[in-house]
Amino acid sequence: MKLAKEPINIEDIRAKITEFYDSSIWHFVCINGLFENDELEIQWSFTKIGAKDEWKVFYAKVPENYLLPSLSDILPTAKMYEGELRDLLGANFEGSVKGMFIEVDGLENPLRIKR
Amino acid sequence: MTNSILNAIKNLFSKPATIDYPFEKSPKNKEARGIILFEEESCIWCLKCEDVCPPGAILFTQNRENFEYTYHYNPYLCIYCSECVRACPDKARALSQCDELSPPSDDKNMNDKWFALEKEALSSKDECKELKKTKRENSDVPQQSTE
Amino acid sequence: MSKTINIPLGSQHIALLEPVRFSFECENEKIIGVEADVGYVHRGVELACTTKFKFKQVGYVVARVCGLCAIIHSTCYTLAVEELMELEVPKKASYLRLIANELDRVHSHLLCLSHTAENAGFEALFMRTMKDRELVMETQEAMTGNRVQFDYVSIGGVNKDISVEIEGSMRSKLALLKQKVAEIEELFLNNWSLSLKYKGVGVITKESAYRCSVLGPLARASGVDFDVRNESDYLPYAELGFKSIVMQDGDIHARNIVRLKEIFESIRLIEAALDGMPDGDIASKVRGTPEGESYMRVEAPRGECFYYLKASKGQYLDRVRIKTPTFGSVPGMIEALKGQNYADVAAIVASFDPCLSCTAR
Repeated sequence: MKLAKEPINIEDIRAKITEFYDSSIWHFVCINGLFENDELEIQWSFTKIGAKDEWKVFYAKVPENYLLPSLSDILPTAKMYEGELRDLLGANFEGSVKGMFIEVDGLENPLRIKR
Repeated sequence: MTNSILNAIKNLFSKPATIDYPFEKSPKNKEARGIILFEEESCIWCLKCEDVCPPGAILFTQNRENFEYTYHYNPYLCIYCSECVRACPDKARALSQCDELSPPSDDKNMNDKWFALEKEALSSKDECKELKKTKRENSDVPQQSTE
Repeated sequence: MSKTINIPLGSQHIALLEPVRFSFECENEKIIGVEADVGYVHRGVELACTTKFKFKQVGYVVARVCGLCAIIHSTCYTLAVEELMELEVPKKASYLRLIANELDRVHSHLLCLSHTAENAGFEALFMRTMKDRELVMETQEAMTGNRVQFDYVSIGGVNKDISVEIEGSMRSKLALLKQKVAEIEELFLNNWSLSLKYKGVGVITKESAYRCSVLGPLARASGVDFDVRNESDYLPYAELGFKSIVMQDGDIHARNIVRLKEIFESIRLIEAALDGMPDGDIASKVRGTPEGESYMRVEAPRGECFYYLKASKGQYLDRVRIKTPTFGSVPGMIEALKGQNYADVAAIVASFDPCLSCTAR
């Protein structure tokens, strides 16, 4: 399995992914989020169509409650993942609304609870 | 057209696909997984099965006087995965699986009894550890004073 | 500007197996806008996997996310943990895992086809397909011990072995199943009210399939040849000669035919695996605790299922991220529903084969 992880500045993410993404070569898999040491880490992962397990992952670390740019006009599926991370982790993506999984006045940011 | 007439005649004389449930028992496969059986003579009390069980259906409580363990099993929480059978070490082999499922029960206080047993298991193990530590310290002290 | 009205397809409906709510903005029965609300069955599985259960027990928790693709979740998690702990799995265990995954695919596709027949109004075929599905359930019970939730895969290998008489009964039941599915395929190809009247309805074009990253049989029916079984080495598909099935139209009829032909391909793979089964143990010993990050994907009956794990040498994991196929296909489904008549909506939603328990874990 070939994995290429690349750190990226959060300001450049829209320009970089618009230049990189070509829908006939790369397949968009998922947006992922972690919460550690009071910092959020967001990962965007892609795989190459036709190759055996070749991954390319971009990641960025931001302080909590930072306003993150949204990618839903380049990648339509990103809207669902951003809504989920807003509900569960409190990652503030632009244009996302609370209430997809948890009620609006329910538990706040459950995935930040540590053991 | 002839095909459908032939099919209709064939279906007229074949048996139904369902069974007559309350009057006929449902068929049981002999490879099915069922509840866990325990043999007390071969157990070496290593407590590995309690560690591994995913829903927590096996519990051990400890007696505060002679520090002996007692085995409790809840067949209504068990998922029949047989992880405990595989975790039991080779020199003991005290657990095995049969193919009977747990029978229906109408005990209304079953949940409360099991929750009380969970608290008792944790607290009895902690208290026995404390009792053993003080007992060991008490038996050390007289030797030091004579020296 | 003409007037538009909002009609809901509510969370409880006769045509839906699981609760999901759509709200359609219609102008004279043609749909212009769609809003979807998933998340009625959220149970908090990702939080439970990192706080309440140790890493050896998480495989059993994760299998209970979905009832139809239970073993796919369990296999994907186990493969990811074995990569973190650098364990070698014996070859016989890989072949047995492949057989269990393909049996699961057969019974899931038969359930979807019978539900499609019920929505087209053909109840006798619905009952007949469910009767043929019982052959697969009996095979699964003989091989793993249970009909739906087989707790068959654990870290290091599998839990139970196949004996000679189980293999004999499996082969005879699969041969009988091939004849029955051939009769059903003839009905799907020739009967007007079952499938041919839906040609041209609910179309996903090839460009929108690429743009919306659609997965699974939805993409393969629109001409996009994308299958994780071609792109991954963790299960021995390449040794047994696997070919994916692609059709070009993208409507409801094409999706039904793709699922039917996949059933035949899966039965052929199972028979090839039983013929070429190597000898050896079924599990290897597990020592140590996992550390690091891992990315893994497996092909579920509805698309691609993705797992991300992060651990740091303890009994409990740090982060478990699950992505299920239906969750990623929701924007594609919304594109396909625009421009259709309201009366066809039940048949279109049933042909997408949504699994809402996976979507809202």
